Amino acid sequence: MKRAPSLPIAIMALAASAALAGCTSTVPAESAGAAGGGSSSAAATASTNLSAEITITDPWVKATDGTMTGAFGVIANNTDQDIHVVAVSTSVTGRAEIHETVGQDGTMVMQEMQGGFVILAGDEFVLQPGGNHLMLMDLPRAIEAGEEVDLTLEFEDGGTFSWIAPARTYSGGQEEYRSGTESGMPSESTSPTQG
Amino acid sequence: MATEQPRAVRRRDVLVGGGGVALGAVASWAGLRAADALSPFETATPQATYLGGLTEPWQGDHQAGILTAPQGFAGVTAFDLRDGVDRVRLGRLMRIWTDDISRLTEGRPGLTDTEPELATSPARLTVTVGFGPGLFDKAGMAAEKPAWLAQLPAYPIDRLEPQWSEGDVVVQVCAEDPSTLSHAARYLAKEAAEFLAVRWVQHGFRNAAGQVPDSQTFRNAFGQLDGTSNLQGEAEPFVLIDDAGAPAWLRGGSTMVVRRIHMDLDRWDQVDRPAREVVIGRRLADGAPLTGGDESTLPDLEAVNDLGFPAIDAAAHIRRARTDDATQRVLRRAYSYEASPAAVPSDTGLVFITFQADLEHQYLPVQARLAELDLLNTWTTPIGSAVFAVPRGIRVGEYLAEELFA
Repeated sequence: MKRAPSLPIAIMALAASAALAGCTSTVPAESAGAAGGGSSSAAATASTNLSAEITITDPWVKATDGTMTGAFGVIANNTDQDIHVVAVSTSVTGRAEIHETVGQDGTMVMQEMQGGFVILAGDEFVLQPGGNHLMLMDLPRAIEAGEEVDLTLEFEDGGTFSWIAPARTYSGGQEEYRSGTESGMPSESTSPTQG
Repeated sequence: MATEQPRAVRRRDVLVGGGGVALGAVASWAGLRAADALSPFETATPQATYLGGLTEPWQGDHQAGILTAPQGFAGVTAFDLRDGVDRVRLGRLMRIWTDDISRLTEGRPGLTDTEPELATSPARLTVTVGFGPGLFDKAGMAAEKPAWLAQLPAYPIDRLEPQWSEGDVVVQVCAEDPSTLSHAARYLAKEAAEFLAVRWVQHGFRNAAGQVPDSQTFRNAFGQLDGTSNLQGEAEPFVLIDDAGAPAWLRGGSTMVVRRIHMDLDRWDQVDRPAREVVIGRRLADGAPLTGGDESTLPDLEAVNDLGFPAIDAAAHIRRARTDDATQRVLRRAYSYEASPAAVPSDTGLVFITFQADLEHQYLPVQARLAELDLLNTWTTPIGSAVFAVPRGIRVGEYLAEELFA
């Protein structure tokens, strides 16, 4: 799914020291250091290519008072090299995974994407409810609508890409979570983000 | 035939010009085929015109939907704060809504929009947000509540019903298309679900875009021209708060009254046309005062008829509503409502919305005078009432009412 027209957020390479800022539209972020009027930026280090440009458009996280939730957005790789994303992290919990949603026995279930994913050079990768997404687990507290969550992708070559995503109330994204990928593993039947 | 030819040429010129408009406010000409330019035939009727791409700016010194020329349709939703919603959480809601407003009014889907296709024709969508007195009390912000922000006094004509009255937050959504409006209002309410509970919803309509001449004053369900003596081009100083003593979030904002006025069509049907004109003090056909002239002519309140009685009745609506103090006028932005127009009694009336810089000086005196005596009161009954403080507009880089919640 592509959202258009969009407001892609330019990510400056080697701007790791810059404060994380909001990435949605023209609304200032809640977090400190986000004083930029209408501008948005995020921090990234990409050892792949020093002039690299990676963007995320329309990032958000599903608000929850449960222990799991999803993060979404459209990540564009504007570099001339493929990027292999191998992990995701956040300060709100020590456990975050890259997930895919697959049809199984007539229902949609989600599971960890073993080995991460690759964003081809010049291509984009869509994270959306009911599809691929970032999964935040073992949340120690609720994430309220309007709060902001920091997220960082780690690349195979050691580079990273960080942004801030606002939390929004959302009813979808309730696929059952299948812990692990081996058969015989018990399913967690609770909705991942049900409040 | 020679006289017809230039007309066809002119029309093509218009079509070419219309196709060149850009910047999101595209008014393209639907139904135009390339072959038209080569057609030897005149077009029998004007082609339908796509107006859904037209946009109203959402940023500025004042919020949209106040001085904006009234769109055809309005949906007004009042909310109550949920328990525990404080200043910090309200600030988060305003951030969310600011993002929503920026997207939807530009014809872009909301961030989490589950029906993004419904957002693609903004149709002059505007969103206007206001705060009721309860917000300040419930959110622990009583110290910041403007002194004037309270419900209107109880008037003897009132038959107020809780289902149409009061509210901590109001969102007025207006658009030229009811489908666009419905989607936007629903999305804004969904986004606020953790913060606010819906208290009441009122839908209203005027004439749809392009269906009556732009110059024509809106006619209400009684067939009366509604708001003839409304503020016109000089409105701004009477509508927007420009008081150095006002808090920053209100400077450039306004005060908003939403009244639901039931209009008794069944009993109005028993009133013949001459009597209807006496009630108002104007001619129905053109809105001219009974003392002559046209709609814009000031009534001669001193004039008497052949029998020596006042030409405009002592209790006529325009006499009672009129003020010699030009600073007492308000900006009316009313919409008709109808729940069941054919039933007896009819459930029809006016969502009476006004904006004014100073509620106490401009609104209250006129309302008190009308409540005391107005022939129209025989057929109209206020059944809902609410008052809101409307924050100033969203400037670049800000979120709505940032100074109040930061």
